[in-house]
Amino acid sequence: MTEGSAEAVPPAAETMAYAEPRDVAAVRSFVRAAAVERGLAPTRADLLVLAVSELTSNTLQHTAGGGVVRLWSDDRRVVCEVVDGGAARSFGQMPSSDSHRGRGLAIVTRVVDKVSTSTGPDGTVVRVQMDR
Amino acid sequence: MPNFEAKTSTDGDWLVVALSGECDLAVQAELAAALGDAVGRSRAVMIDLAALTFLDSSGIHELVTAHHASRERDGRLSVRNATGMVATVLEVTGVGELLGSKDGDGDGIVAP
Repeated sequence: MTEGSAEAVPPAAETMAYAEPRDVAAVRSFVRAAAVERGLAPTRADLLVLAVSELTSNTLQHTAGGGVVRLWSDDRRVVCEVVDGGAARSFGQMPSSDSHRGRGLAIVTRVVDKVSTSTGPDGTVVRVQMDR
Repeated sequence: MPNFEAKTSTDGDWLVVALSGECDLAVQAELAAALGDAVGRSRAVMIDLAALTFLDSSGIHELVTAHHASRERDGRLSVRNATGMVATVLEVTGVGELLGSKDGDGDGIVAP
């Protein structure tokens, strides 16, 4: 978990917007297809899909609007960013199994190789990545 | 749209709720209604996940809520037959263990 993301988003990034709960299934299809096409093993792509599904659902549950997903890759990893107008997120520990809430972001940190986030005047970017 | 469905049937002492398709935020209310109905009808509820292909924290939230509702009625709610990513989510959150997650037909779990 690191703060800030100095790297720029490459122009070749694929993007998809989401605005309501029924869009989240389409986001999952988009991320799965793009990640597999970029060479991530299907079982690894499924973990990235779960993380992005949690992040986009978090936007729709806790902010006033929707957001955008960006995905790109290089020779080492597949990177996905979830951008929304919400406040900074905190990625805490997994709550106890009988707890009612607080699992979404904890799941994200458990299933991807790296999570980083940055918050500015335009909102919050959460970047997750899977190594190849 | 996720092709989510919840179908309820009986199997011996158990009321079985078979979930299929993708379970996410878009169908959370539908899942809550199905689980709430099942817990209201039976003290022994088995959630069959064999045909469920996706589960996230919104679905986990409803499973835990139904678990607590069942406990308040001295009942029990369990899950069985999770595979793939559904099994992964249950394991990562610890909720599979909480709900006595079993492979196969759920033998070994005794209805209350």
